[in-house]
Amino acid sequence: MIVPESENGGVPDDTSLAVRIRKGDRAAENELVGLYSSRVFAMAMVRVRDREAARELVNDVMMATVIALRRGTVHDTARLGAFIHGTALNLIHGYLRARCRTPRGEPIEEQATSPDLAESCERDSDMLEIRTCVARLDRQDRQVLFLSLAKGLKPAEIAARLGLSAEVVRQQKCRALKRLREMLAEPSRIGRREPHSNR
Amino acid sequence: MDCSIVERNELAERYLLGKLSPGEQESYELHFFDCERCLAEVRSLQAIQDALRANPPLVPEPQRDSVWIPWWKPLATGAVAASLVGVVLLLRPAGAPEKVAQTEDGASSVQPPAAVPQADVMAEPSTSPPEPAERPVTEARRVAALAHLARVEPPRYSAIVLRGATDEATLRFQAGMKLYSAEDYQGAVLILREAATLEPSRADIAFFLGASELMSGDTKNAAKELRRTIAMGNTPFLEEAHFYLAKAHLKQGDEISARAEFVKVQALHGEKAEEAGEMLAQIAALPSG
Repeated sequence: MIVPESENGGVPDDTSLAVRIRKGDRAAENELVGLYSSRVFAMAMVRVRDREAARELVNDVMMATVIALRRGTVHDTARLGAFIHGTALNLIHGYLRARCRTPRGEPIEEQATSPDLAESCERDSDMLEIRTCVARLDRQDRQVLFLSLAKGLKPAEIAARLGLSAEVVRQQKCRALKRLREMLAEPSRIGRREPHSNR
Repeated sequence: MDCSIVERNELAERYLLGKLSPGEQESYELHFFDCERCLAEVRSLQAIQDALRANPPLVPEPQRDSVWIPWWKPLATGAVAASLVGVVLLLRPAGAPEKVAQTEDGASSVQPPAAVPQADVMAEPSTSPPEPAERPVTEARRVAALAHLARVEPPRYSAIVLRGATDEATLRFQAGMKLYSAEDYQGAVLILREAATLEPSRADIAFFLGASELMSGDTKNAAKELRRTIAMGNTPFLEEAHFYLAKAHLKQGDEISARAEFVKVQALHGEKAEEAGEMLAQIAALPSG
């Protein structure tokens, strides 16, 4: 049985999920994939900066985890997150090493990505919604967010670019993010079908 | 790690921008693997970042790095020049008039006395005033704009923890990249050169050596290493090598070569394609020389 989330919204114990997978419960495997694929995807995107590669890596990581659980080779089943994170790190490092030595454009290994898995990582419709919401922001809000989140500039640097004070930039960024969150939280928008809502 | 630390230190944002140390990065990942709230935060920021990159807003260039020249300055410069010429002509003896004319390159020159009525001579400066002074001003703006375009952020490097035996070149590379990450580019150049000598065919070493040289101001050697990276063919560093080679050309004031490199970056359709497009647009908008 999966116990309820902890106070910080965390994942406290995965032992029962591991036990079910060990017993051959396919639904439990799907649950595991639904639970962790978006986490691995977020991590892979930051580390490899390539959407397709990140999706493939999620596939590999989840496959390796499920196989290890079926065989019963995972020792600390209470903290599957740490195991999956470690597996993801190993596979990502392996991928980056291979990428350094493999000509660009040459696929490292062709593997089918299941549609369900891609769906768990991210949805194109969500991306479209987010783009629409971002486009609805004021021009200056978009400029501040772009310089901050996409270019990584500090408030003082943004202030110099836009002719504002650093404090105004900070406030504007907070307000813009808040507005975006409000827009995205609208019932018709993203978040209607959270992949982990079964937790 | 807990959510308050994440929030206080803006870890989600810094994580997405690759600004966390390897240790912080790992701790933060382990945290959001166990925390729905932080996972939701990082995912939404990631999506917003993607959306902004896919459709970037027009952003004004920083003013502090460019030479700001008020709109009235060329006119004023022309007017001052005209007044000076007028004063000189008025002070000259009446029997020896000289004609102020322009040479082919636009500079003023004083021609020998000729049979020209004095009224014409006096009219000359007021009919073509700002031309001689405007050219250096435009050139100054152009140089300043080029210098601005040549500004470069160091290419991002994420340390990879390799397990198992590591060869000497990799050890040197890792040591060099530690200095690179600490923004000691000159130190990084020294060690990366050793790594490049041991392993001349490794694109990552050649690329980051070029990048370090570029960041330490040695554009000539930077261009050499970046060309070497490009010559290695279709490596993961090909696009960035073209991009930073373009920047090296801009630093050398060679906008034609820079433009050619940016075009190659665009043709690769990678992460830098959009930025290369912006750079091409800005080069095209440079004041004509």
